Amino acid sequence: MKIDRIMKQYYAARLEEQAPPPEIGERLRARLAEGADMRRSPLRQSLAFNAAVIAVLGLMLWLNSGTALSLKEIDPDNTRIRRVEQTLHNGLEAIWAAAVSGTHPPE
Amino acid sequence: MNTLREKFHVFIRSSFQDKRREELFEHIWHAYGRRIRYYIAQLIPFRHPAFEDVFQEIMLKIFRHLPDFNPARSFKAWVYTIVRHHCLDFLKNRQERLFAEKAEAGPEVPGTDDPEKAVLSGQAMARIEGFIRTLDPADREIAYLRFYENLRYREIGRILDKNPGTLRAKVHHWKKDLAEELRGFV
Repeated sequence: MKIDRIMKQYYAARLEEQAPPPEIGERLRARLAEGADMRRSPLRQSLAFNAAVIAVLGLMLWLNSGTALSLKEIDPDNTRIRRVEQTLHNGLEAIWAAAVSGTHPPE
Repeated sequence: MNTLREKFHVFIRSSFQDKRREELFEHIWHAYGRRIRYYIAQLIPFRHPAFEDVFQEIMLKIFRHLPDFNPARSFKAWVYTIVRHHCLDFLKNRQERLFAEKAEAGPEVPGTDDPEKAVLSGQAMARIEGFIRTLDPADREIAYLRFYENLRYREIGRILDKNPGTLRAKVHHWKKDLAEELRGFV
């Protein structure tokens, strides 16, 4: 373990001398500002990612379905769960609004 | 920024936020600029006349290909795969051989009262330097990716197209050699 730490420190010292020239940074920034070097992510990739997230959440819900029984005791009139639901809804609305505003120009 | 946060930061920004790409560029420039240059120097001599051009092309290539980044993989490993492929293509196109010269001498690390850092001053630093110089270029890449970037053997194997088991055995062997080399300092 100690060897790993020492080697990491050795490389950190070597990296200190590798500062990129600022003029290259400026040149690249200027080029990126022209907007020539960025493509939009393919939609299918975003969809695949969202599908994976939904699958994981679904699996977690399914694995924890037993907790529904105890929820009846904790929250008999469903007021707490409605509050959680509302918070989640507001959060998702905000995420969606941010995503849409980044994808399309405002009307 | 931790690895998980970083990969989602990059993924989300490159997927939706056209207006925030400068922010993404700044992150890559500051977090990876030095590391990419050091990695290039393992393959192409730092004094090569085209070194800065290669660095610039690689930075642009990374930025251009951000939307292809798969967040199921490590962002670091993805970056180094691009760097390595670009360098190998560059050498192939110019019909130049892989940088096989001995590594250039590193900077002198000043002495310190901190016992952890003290090991790196003077003789210990020179011994590690000597050890690195005995490695061939491909092995220097492995050592850097494992010891500094702390990448998994599977990820290093993917970057270098090598068997993770072989890499693990190599690193294990080096650690034993280094422990021997640094006996009295560790």
